[in-house]
Amino acid sequence: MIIMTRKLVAENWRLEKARYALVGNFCKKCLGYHFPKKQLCLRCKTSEHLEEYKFKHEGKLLEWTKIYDPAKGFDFAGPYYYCIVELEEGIKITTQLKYVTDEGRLKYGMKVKLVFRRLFSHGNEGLNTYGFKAVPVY
Amino acid sequence: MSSKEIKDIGIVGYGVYIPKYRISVDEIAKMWHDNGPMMAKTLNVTEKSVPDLDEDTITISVMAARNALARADRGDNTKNNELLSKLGAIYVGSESHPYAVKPSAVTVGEAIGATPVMTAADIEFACKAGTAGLQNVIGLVKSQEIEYGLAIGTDCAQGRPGDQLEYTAGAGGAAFIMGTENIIAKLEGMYSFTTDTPDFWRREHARYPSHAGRFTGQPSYFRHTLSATKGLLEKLDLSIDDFDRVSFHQPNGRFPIAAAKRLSIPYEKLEDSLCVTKIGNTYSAASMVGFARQLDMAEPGERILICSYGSGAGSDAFSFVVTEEIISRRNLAPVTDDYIEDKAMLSYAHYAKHRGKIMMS
Amino acid sequence: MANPILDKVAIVGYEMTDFGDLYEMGIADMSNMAINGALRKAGVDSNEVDALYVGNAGSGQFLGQEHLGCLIASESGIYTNATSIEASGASGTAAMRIVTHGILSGYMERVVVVGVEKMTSLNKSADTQEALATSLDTIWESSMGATLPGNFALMAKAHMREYGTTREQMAQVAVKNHDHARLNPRAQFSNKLRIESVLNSKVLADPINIFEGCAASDGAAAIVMMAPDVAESYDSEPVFLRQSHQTHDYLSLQQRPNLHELRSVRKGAEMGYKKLNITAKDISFAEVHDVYTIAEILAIEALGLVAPGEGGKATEEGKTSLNGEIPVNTSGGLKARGYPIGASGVAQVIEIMDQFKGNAGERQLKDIEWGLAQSLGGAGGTSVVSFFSR
Repeated sequence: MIIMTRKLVAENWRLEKARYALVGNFCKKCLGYHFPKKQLCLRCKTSEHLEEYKFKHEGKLLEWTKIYDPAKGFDFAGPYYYCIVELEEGIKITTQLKYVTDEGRLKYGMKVKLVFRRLFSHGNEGLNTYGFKAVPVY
Repeated sequence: MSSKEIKDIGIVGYGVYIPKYRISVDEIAKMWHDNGPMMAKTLNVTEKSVPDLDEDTITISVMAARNALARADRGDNTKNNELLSKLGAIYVGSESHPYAVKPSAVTVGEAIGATPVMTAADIEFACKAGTAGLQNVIGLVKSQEIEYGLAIGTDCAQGRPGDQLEYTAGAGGAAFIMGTENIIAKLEGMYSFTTDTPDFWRREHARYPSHAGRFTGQPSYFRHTLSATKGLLEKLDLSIDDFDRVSFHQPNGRFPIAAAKRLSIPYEKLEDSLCVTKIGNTYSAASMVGFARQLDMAEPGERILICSYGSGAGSDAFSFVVTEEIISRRNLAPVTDDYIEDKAMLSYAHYAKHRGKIMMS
Repeated sequence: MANPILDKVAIVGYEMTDFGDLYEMGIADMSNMAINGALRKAGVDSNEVDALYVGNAGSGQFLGQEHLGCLIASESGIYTNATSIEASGASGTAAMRIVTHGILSGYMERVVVVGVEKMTSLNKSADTQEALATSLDTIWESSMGATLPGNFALMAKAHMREYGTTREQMAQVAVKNHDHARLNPRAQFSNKLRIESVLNSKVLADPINIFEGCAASDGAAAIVMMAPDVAESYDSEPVFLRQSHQTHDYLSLQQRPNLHELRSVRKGAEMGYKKLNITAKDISFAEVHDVYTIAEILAIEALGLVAPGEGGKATEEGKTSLNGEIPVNTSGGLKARGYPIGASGVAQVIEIMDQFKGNAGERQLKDIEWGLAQSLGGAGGTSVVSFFSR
């Protein structure tokens, strides 16, 4: 009965550019970044000054947790690290953190880069959905 | 499209990607009570690369393509969009596309931002699908239909558990952007040799490929590789001694060495391309990754031969001459060894999980 | 509530089902029991009810049933307008809050609020978790692998880093709330919980263990709300809802400036204190949203009951225990009384009613003046803070 957002083909299609290439927007008036992209600038309340912006695939690690009880559909990958990353432009995103072989080496504020991965797939017959995940840079 | 005369066609950007995980031949041999050291020696392979749980040929293609782009834009991000707007074709060659129907190439195009004014297709020709794509791109650039084109060879190869192929079936990808300006390596010519030789195949819905054992050698790999190489030499009126470096398809660590020997190519000219010993056979990527590693190490002016082999069967041979551009461009993205050396070992159990050999339902 | 002195809404009757595995009852059955129980206690005939508001978070997810207002009204014999309100874990108190609009405008006189949830319907705990995770940003959090405990784990990590809060202090929240629940016959869990058991229980998302969270639970809780002048003829000493503030923060954690505080709760509490011209020191006891142990620590800090960063220490020192300076979650809280999502906010109000009415049995507090209820939607995107007095 549960509708899983991530199974919705049209929704996933709508999000492709954001997930694949970190496409958001930048408001030339208030000099603010938006990710995911906004139809209207939240501050200026207009689309007039918005231009498409591709965020850099680098940032710093803020909080992280190791999820032992995985979200449905992620059980095969569990346990996995889940974190908040602040991109260079100051926008924050949540994502999985890969290749944590020694948690002791994770530090608040350390550099991470974003890589391209499969976010989820739906059995043998469903679609795969792709997007970004983070990797620590030691 | 202007119809100015094209002087040179060549590589304007190249990039590889190899997953971080490895399993040793020894570990696989233990599983099947086989003799690990003997197997490693026979195959001349010690470890093979294994994709992560969330990696497939699409993710590998995107990572390799991003590295190729980083070299193509010459370190100038502002050039990126201009280049992408002129990137008119993407071909992804693989025998392990995640979908039977739905192109991998479109995801690559969307992820690097080359869509929508471009053509794209996935190509399958066993282990030479990547170079077949390269030929398509070269043709389009040469005919001035497009300014830049991207060809990728990639695989997450599957070997049947316990089969000889399981020891070598690896994962990786290599991407090449072809164009006419700021060339890293100039194309001199290409030559293909193709027959219907069924040495290795996988039927629709079959989980693992089948192969014809020793038949994969002489009538298959060697005949096609040697014929294509010789044909290219003849076509370009070159001798094998004119080449400074070579990269052959690498189904194991012995075949390319034997092929080089039969062509009287000194081992030193082949050596730098032999990634197979550490990452296994990356199938459609194998000869291209070997070629990329040769580019990582090449000096300007050096001539490089690349000859792929795809079961079924065919070989595509190419001759490239490296330009001065290589010096400033090769460090704009990770080199092949950065990936080969950055590794984490897996047990057979974890390997089985990574390769989908554990059924959850 | 424009005039904090004059504007108040009386709560007259109240009733709740047991919380826990109520396999023999459907969502309408549970609601029927709570609604008619509350009406009977209030002495109100169902024909006199002006409206029914249902607080429910996930019947669409748990049961595939929407349109609850109609279902529950008709199955409870209440033939008036009925509407379902959804605000995740704050659904119950959000429904209660909306009723104040109708009563204070003079448009309604007697209104029933029922909070209800049936969560034991799903076969797999992963499905239950998935349903809970719909209260997060399903695209940018849940689809990236987030879980509800995962999000609270990030908040716990931030709090630990910022203030040095310890695992033991967090675990003590669960231990204390179980101790309280042992005195509450309606509680889902009445077992004594040892701190070692909490710390050694299965990790959900580091640093949150399974005994620091709530179990899936069924239950319904209802209150009858009235205009003060109307209430006089039903209850000579009614308890009043004096202020209730619904406030928000960004839905997704990544948009918030920091994670070591619940900004939504703090904002709501400050608005209430200001309007009532009281301070946190005037609060006698509180029911807070301890969906995970860290959530209670964050809540008591945001409400000003303890200083920022002192929540863990205060819990460890017993300040929030039944006999402490500021008893928190005398009912056992979400943790031990049970957390049928939509019902829990109303159940908090019922604990406050029991305390004011002297019906709290062994956990009865003395000399209480102000009671406070705080409930949270999702991982703090929504907060409802409500103030009660005699």
